Formats: sequence, C-alpha cells, structure tokens
Amino acid sequence: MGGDDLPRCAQDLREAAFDAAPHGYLLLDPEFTIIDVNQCYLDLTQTRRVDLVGIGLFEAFPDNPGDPNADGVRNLRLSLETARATGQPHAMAVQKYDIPVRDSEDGSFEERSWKPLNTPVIRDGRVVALIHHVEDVTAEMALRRDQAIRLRSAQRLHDLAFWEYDPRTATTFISRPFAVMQGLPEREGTLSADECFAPIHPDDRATMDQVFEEVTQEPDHTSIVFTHRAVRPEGSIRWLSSQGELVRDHRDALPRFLLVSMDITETKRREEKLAQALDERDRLLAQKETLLAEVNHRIKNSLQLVSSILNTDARRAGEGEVRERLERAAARVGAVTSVHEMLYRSNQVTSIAFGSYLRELCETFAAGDAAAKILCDPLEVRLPADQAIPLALIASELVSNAVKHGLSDANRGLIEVKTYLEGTDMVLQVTDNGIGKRDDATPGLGMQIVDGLIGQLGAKMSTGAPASGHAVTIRVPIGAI
Amino acid sequence: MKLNVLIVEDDFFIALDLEDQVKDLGHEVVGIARDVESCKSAAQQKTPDVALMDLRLAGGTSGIDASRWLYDVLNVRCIFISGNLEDETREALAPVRPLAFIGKPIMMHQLERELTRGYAAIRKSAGD
Repeated sequence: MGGDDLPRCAQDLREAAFDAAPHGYLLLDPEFTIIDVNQCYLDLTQTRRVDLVGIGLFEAFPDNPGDPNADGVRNLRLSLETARATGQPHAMAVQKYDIPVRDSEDGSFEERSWKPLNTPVIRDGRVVALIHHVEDVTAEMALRRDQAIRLRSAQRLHDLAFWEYDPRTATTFISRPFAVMQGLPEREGTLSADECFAPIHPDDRATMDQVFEEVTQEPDHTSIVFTHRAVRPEGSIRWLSSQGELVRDHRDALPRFLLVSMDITETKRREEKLAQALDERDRLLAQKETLLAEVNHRIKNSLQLVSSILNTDARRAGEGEVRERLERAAARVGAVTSVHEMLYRSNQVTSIAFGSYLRELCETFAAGDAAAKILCDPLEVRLPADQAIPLALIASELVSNAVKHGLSDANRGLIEVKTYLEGTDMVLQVTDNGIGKRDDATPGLGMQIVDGLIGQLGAKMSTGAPASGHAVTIRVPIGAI
Repeated sequence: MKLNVLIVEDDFFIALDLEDQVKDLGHEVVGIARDVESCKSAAQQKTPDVALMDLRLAGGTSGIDASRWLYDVLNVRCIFISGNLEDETREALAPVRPLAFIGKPIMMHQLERELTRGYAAIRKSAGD
C-alpha cells in the first residue's frame, strides 16, 4: 500500500475536512491553548480565527461576569483535565456557557447551552493534544425548558401528578404530587411497587393489575385508563383517575408505563350526592303516589261508611217513599264510592277507566232487578276524576230511572247503555223499551241532579222517544284523549 | 243453604250494613268482631262457616293475622272485604286460602255470589 501521493492528498483533504465538518472543533495543546479551530466552531461562537489561535481556551472564553452562577469554566477545565489524565474521551453534561458577543462595545454576553465532548489525541502513549468538540443545543434546551414549564403549569392547573411503573422490576418512579395524592410520604424518586401501591383499596388493586396485565403484549403508546381509591393513613379515601401510555426501551423488552393521575374525589362526591338526590327524588315521587293512593283509599272507606249508614237506614224504614229515597241516596253515594275505588285500584291515581265503571254499574242494576235485561256497550276511555264522578252519577241516575219508570209495566224490559265518541265529545246514551215518559211528569230529584251535573260538565242533553220507550242522550266535551 | 257468618270489621256502620245484607241473603250472623282478639273469642264461642274479613282492624291489628288464626286453629276461610290488594298482600294471604275478595262499595249481589260460591267450596272440602 502506499505511494507518496496518497498521504499527501489525504493530508490536504484532512485539513479541508476539518473546516467542512458539521460540528465545531477546537484543537488544544495539553495546556489548553488553542492550536487550531474549524469554521463551524467559529460560526457557532461568532468568533474569528485570529482572536483564538495561540490563546488560552479560558482566556478566549471566560465565564460571563454578569452571571454569578456561571461555572462553565470550572466544568470544562475538569473535563479536559480528566481526558488528559485518563487518555479517555470525556463527555460533559449540557453546559450553560455564554459567549461574548462579537464586536459588542459593552462586552456583553450571549446565553448558550452546549453539549461538549473532550477527546485526547495520543501519540507514543502521551496526550499531545485535545479535541474539544461542541454541539450547540441552545435551541433544544430552550424548547425543553419551555416544555417543562408547560408541563409543570398544566400539572398545577389540573392537579396532575406524574409517575412511572415498571412491572418487570416491580419499581415505580413517583413525583412529589403523586406521593401526596396517593397518601405516601411526600418525596420524589424510585419506590418499590409494593410500597407505592400499598394505599390502593384492595378492590381496585386487582382491577388495576388487570389493566396493566391486559396490555403487556400491545404495541408502544397503547393507552390505559383506570380509576382507583387511595386509602389515606387516617382512613379517608381519595379517588384517583389515571391515564397512561405503554413504552418499551427495547423492542422485545417488557413495557414500562408513563402515567398521569388526577384527584377526582370532589367529582366523585358530587356524583354520589347527585345520585343520592335522584334516589331521594324517586323515593319522594313514589311516596307521593302512595299517599295519593292512601287518600283515595280513605275517601273510599269514608264513602262506604256513608253508603252503609244510608243502607241500614233504608232497610229499617219499611216499605214506602222514605225507604226508596234512602236507597236512591245510597246508590248516589255508591256511584261516587265506585269511582274512588277505581282510582285506588288502578295505578293511575287521577283518572279512571270509565268503560269498566259502566259495566260494573250495569251489573249491579241487573243483579238488583231480575226483570231487567241491561245491554252495556261502553267505550274504553280513561277520564279524569273531576269528569268521571259527575258522569258516574249521571249514568247511575239514568239507569236507575230506566229501571224504575221505563220498566215498571214491561214484562221483559230491555235497557241499553252505551258510550261512543263523536269528534271530541263523548256520547252517553241510555235507552229503554218501557212505557215512555209522560209529558206532564214533574221532574224528580234524579233528573234535577242530572240537569245540574250536565251544567257542571258543560254537556248537552237531548231526550227522545224511540219506537217505544225512552232515550236520553248526553254529549260531554272531553277534549283530546 | 244457610251459612254461619262471622263479620270482622272495625267500623260499626259498615259492620251493621254487612250484617243486614248477610241476614237479607238468608244467612246467620254468629258474631261481629272489630279486632283480632274479639275475632278469636267470637269464633271460639261459635265456630263460623265463613268470615267476612276487613284487612284493617281496630287498634292497628290486621285482618291478615285474624284470618291466619281462623284458618290455622279453626280451619275457617275468609271472604276479604278489600278490592285492591298488592301482590305482597295476596301472597301473604295465600296460605289461608281466601274464598274471595270483594271491593267497596259492597254490592249485595257480589256478596250473594261470593257467599254462594263459598258455601259450595266449604261443602266440597267438607266432603273430601
């Protein structure tokens, strides 16, 4: 190998390469005097070759006198001395090392961060020079600082706490805020998983372990979410909500988890209070229904009592008008009682199935008078109590009249009771095939009651004589149903 | 057919009304009781064929208890005077094998029908 051209050519190229290198290099003698400098270093430090070559490094780049904390010179000297003494490269941590602003008249400095590497040049076993290599990480450091500020601010704003968990080594790395949230002694650093998870409520520990376990084989950045209760030493309970991501340091390594937790105890308490309030509301609504049913039940019992009083009076009155009147009174009270019975019986406490009422009414009259055959054809409709009660009384009077007057001479009487809809009106029709109504008949109390209740309901009544007998038609506006 | 009927009802007027109706229907009223204790003593004096039983009795006592005693001790079954019963109450009453439930207002024809049915049921079980 060899030839004289190549080394010379290489020599030339080496010089050119030194200047063209994308990183800054200073070549120092063992006493740290600058022997050579490449273009990149000049550019980075905004200096000129003539100002550096032959000058001591720390003379060329002194500490910023305006920064009392400046320790760049000390650190750099220690690193260079280490490299010189050991014959090994020495990498320095990122340094804040401000440089003089070139051409500034007031000798001001510019803030810079550097990542330096000092490498000894060894010839015949002796360190004959040192390469000082720097990378300007000022922008990167500024970015990292900004991010750290953002993170800390976000953490404070949302009461967030960061932590890490490595299931493989059963180790956690906790931040101070997380230690506080979890009810651990306030500190930052590594902690065994056992210690870190000791405050977790036993019911939640299993769930959390399962959450970690389930994603172990998932790809990087798989996110996890869980909630746990931390039991404080004094027994109080905090609710923590945690979000995290899975990361692997090597492709086949078991994952670690980077996590952030938030104390959601207050939210939980509000939720619990809200749930309690809703339960209480439901309970009160149910109680209201029960009370209404109870009221209907009591009214019904009181009405039954009145019915019973009238019935016993009627039975003891002996045959005649007094007995008849008492029986009619009992029947009227019975009609109202029936409506209340139905209000109580159904789950609806404010309306009744009027069709069912009419069927029961007809059944009662049919049972009371063997001579009458009553056909009942009711509409299945629910009516509010304030309409149902007057209508029940009207129906009771009309059927009672039909039985009393309409059938008095007929051997085989037929009474028809029906209801149907016409537009927004409900029509109640009671027809009998009896002797018909005398035109000169003075209206009895029954018809006075019917007239009055029709007025109360805003209804209209018409009477007519079918082929034989008598028909009464009541038209009640019941609105949309 | 003539039944001996015990009326267990704490309201005087309703009891009187029931008594009238039962008599009108041709049956005998063997006693009127207004709570569990008076029900027991009346039934012991003369064992009824059937009891007309209200569920809410005087002194906060319950027709359920009275009906249990009647059924367990004297094998007497009841017609309950109560139209609306919750499922729980019906379940609680199932062991005493109620003959019927009659709602208020108490209609004579309903009472007649249930007493007739009750009579048949009692006859049948007596024959077994």
